[in-house]
Amino acid sequence: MKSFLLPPRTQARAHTCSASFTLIELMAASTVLSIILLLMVGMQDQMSRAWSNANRRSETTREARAAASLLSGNLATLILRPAVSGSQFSALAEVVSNAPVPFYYFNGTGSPSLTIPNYLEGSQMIFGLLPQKSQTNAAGNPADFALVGYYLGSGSSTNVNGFVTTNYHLYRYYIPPSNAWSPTITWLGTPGGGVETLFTNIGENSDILARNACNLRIGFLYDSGNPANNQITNGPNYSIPASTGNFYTGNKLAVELSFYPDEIAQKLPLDQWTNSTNVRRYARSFEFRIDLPKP
Amino acid sequence: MGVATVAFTSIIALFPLGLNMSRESHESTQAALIARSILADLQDATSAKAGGKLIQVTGTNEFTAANYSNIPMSGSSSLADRFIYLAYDESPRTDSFISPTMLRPKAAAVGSEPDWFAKTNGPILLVKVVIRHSFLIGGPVSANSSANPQRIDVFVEGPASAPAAQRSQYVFTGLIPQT
Repeated sequence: MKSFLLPPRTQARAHTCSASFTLIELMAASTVLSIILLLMVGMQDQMSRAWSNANRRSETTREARAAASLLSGNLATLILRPAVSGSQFSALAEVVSNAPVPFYYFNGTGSPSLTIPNYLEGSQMIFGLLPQKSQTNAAGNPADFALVGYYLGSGSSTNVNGFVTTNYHLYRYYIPPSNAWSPTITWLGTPGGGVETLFTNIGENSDILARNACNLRIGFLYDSGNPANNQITNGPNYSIPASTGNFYTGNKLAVELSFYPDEIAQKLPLDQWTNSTNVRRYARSFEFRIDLPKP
Repeated sequence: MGVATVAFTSIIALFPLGLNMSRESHESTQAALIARSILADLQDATSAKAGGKLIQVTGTNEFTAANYSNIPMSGSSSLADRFIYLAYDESPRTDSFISPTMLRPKAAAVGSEPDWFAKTNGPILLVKVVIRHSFLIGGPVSANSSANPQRIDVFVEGPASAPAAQRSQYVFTGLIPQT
């Protein structure tokens, strides 16, 4: 303010009335402000950590939900049939009416007989026939089943920052009814043939169902008191028999899934994904059981 | 400074909202999977060798009498409502291939409500299963004792450490064959 332009009397009044903080007041105010800012920054830090933890949890939950929904619906209704002798389907060709209809199971031990280029070594898989709404194939014939499968495999995806990363995912193999008949005919017409003729071109016909999956276990529950109950083997199976133990006599399926949050998945080397310590420390795991149709 | 404080406070006030939504999403998924498993166990028509249905009551899946409780499904004892209380906690499961950390039962009680169901600190989720006869018909007891549908209500509550009135509750209902 240009106070020197004011008349002398006004100048004197302006001098006496000018209110200002003392140095002590300013220092006290700065200290209070610093303390408040420190507290707020601390709170912000805690909050962002909690936020990122929550984000990790919701990511894995979202993937688990998608996987559980499809897996439980599909695996409870697989079509399977042992070889039939003296079939009642007389109108059908004998090869069709008598041939067994399998589901393929692999428990992670050894090598699977199906060819999956991006397969995660040591993980489990299941493939089978699934009832579906009827569709007409290229030849104009109706078909009302699809081929479906679940397995863990590697795949590249672009993260939110735009970087392409290679992680393991849960894949769903699906051949719609319109195209499922052709490989099924090949299977039915090749007695003793391998399941690779039924579940073909797995890499091309699979999509990611849930991202960052590190564990898929599919267990057929049985009474362990009787080892003979463990009847589901690696390869084609044609029925899911009920347990014949002294305690449990049903037939159920238990599914176990583990997912890494995106943040962890990006940092973890691929060969460390199935490490037990990492799975326990970083992954979120889910399990559920499915009641199976009685044999 | 006042403006900054108001702005910060408003932003910080939104955090608990987001965090709660995330927690609820996780809880609801776990609740749905638990209910799915319990309904699958009860649906299993030939579950127990001695009759009845098996419900898992410990953190181990193996089918032994120690890990499962047998719920009567036929005879006069099946005509009354049956209540099962379960507490689930998250621990590494050594009976699985890579020992993942999963929710499984830690404590269980059949019949009247146990003390830990009202106030507990250890477990994460609490589950109450109610099995009731449906479509009861008139006549002798034997008419209802073996071949009627059973209504299953699964109440999943969490977090277990909160007082009962302040827990989130998820309710799932299903119908199963009696035997």
